[in-house]
Amino acid sequence: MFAGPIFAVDDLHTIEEPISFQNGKQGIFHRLDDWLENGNPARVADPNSISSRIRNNLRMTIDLSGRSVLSQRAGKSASGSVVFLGIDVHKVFSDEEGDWASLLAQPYLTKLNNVRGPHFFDDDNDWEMVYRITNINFTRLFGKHMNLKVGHFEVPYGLELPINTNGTLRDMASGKNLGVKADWGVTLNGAFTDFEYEFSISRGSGNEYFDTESPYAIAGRIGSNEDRNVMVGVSFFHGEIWNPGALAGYKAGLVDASGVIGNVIDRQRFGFDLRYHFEKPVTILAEFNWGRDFERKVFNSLLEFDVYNPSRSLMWFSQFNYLSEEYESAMGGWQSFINGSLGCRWNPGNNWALSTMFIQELSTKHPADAVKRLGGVFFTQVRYRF
Amino acid sequence: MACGQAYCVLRDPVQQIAQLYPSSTFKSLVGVVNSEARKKVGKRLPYTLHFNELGQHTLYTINKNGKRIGYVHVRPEITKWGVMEVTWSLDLNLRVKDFLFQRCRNRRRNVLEAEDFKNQIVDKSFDELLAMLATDGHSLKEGALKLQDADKEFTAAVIRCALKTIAVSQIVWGDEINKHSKFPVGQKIKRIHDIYTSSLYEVLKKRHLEDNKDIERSTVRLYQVAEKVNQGEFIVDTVWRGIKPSTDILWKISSGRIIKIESSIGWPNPEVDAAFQELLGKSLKDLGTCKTTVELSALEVLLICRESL
Repeated sequence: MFAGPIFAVDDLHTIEEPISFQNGKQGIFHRLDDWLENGNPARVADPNSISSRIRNNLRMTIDLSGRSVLSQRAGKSASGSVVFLGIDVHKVFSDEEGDWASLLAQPYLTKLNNVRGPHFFDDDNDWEMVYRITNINFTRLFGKHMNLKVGHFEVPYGLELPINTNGTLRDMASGKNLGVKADWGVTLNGAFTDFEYEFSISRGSGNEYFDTESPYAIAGRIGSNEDRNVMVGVSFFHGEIWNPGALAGYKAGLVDASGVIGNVIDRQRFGFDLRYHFEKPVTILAEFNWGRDFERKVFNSLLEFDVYNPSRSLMWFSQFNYLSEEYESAMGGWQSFINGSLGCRWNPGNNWALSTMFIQELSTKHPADAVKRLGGVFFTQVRYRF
Repeated sequence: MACGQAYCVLRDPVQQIAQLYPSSTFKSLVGVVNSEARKKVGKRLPYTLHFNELGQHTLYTINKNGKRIGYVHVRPEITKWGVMEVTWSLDLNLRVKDFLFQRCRNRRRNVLEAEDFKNQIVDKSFDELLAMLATDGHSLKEGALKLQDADKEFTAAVIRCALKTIAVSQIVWGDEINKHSKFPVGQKIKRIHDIYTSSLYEVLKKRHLEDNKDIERSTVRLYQVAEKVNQGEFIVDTVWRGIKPSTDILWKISSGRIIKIESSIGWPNPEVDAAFQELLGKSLKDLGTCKTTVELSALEVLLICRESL
């Protein structure tokens, strides 16, 4: 009937199988099956066997990536790198009635080499286990429209929730705006035909769960359906966040910082976010945040343009961040900071993601017109998943 | 999803499933779409999967009252408007029941989401959809669908996506699908359209069935088993409204007799189940003096088959 396939069948071998450590007779699942079922093929094939229960609806991938960082400021340059070695696990739990929970676990061993990391790293050459997104979402406790998530999750605020930038060079505003991108706690989440929501109560400590100084965070986002070309969302955040780095910046804006003790910052934010897909593969993203740190007003915003090739294997993005905070009037009003970035992500195959990004500080305004030299940072990242 | 993305970006199409199948539950079946599956798709279609489509994917089985009623699968298609993702609803025999766009930049998506278009592809099988494509496998065959010229390229992408979805579902989850197939596995089934012709209405009138409301006539689907035309083997899919809640009933007719009756979503009660099972083996002759609503429905189904011979 047909003159011939667009892809000749003989040419199909040129597309290689994605390399996976779990597939094939030497794969980890086969070894696990053999060990659990004593090499009995009938038991392995039994859908109710232990190995089947573990293996069914399980995705598991080793994720290895390296990131180089080159920075320059005032004629001086520095370099460093970060190495990530992790395992990415997704498992759906089902019974005869259907799915009842999904587990996501992303423990990543992260090693800094002459790079300043988030506050939970002890120094610029430290290593830590970073849990990224590690939680279980129970989907059948309260009916179709409400789920309960327990564990380490993205704080439900702003564009980070629908976009999710964990492990990528591209970042949304949550880290800079909230001081915490993922946190330990519980959320109620769900979706209706036209909107979705997630509300959380969490530890306020970020990657590490600890019980000093009683930090906490309450957050939530309600957004329109992600499958439309226009997506809008509103968010709120209230809490006391363990973030010594941010606190140091806050103290710098006080004439007398002796009253601020401890390592938590009293923070409140209200946010509005927007994503618009043009008919061509171009997308615009924006996020606007208002709030306060202790009693000082804050306004932060993000604007991003994305351009894709039709298959989405190549993406260019350009982002602008405007961060501002009101200082004591005696110190000169508002501090503001603008940076711009240009980045690219390319997936040459199913296993690889290559990324690069350049961030340039464009403008700073400091209290009393203090002079700060503008700097730039160049990142490259190679990611291999198998 | 492709291997290159972390699993935290995985999203079940919960909203779409709720729209496509209200008051039902779903169960995930994760399967591996590998290069072997890609080769098989290439043999069944004049195009095949993009390498980004390889990896672990989910077929959602849809259940209602403990019975499987269909499938949902999300599949991408590369278009000049970027990657389009379509959430496909398929029946137990992998015929298109409905679809929703999960990602689609094309501003004319509303045209394809409208009933006018959907009615043209609903209930279509793999072969029927394949017949809509031109020999290049990329564009639509002239006159295959009633569309404006502006929508033809976009529509061809949707049809290609539907074909890939059916092919991948059958290749990757075939064992599971065949277990629950309404129709005999491996047999060619031909759908017969225009069931309620004027001559059938005449026959129904003679039997005082013209006002029979127990069978929802707009939903009746008639299929002929192609290899058993001589035996007059038919499968009739009906929604039966004789008692609430209504139920979906599949009738198998051979040589003018009822040989199998099944409810795909469960019987309203055991008495109804028993009443229908009483009909097994009966022909038009046996139902000459029928009185119950169940018997009247059986009579209508047998008349549909007789008039289609």
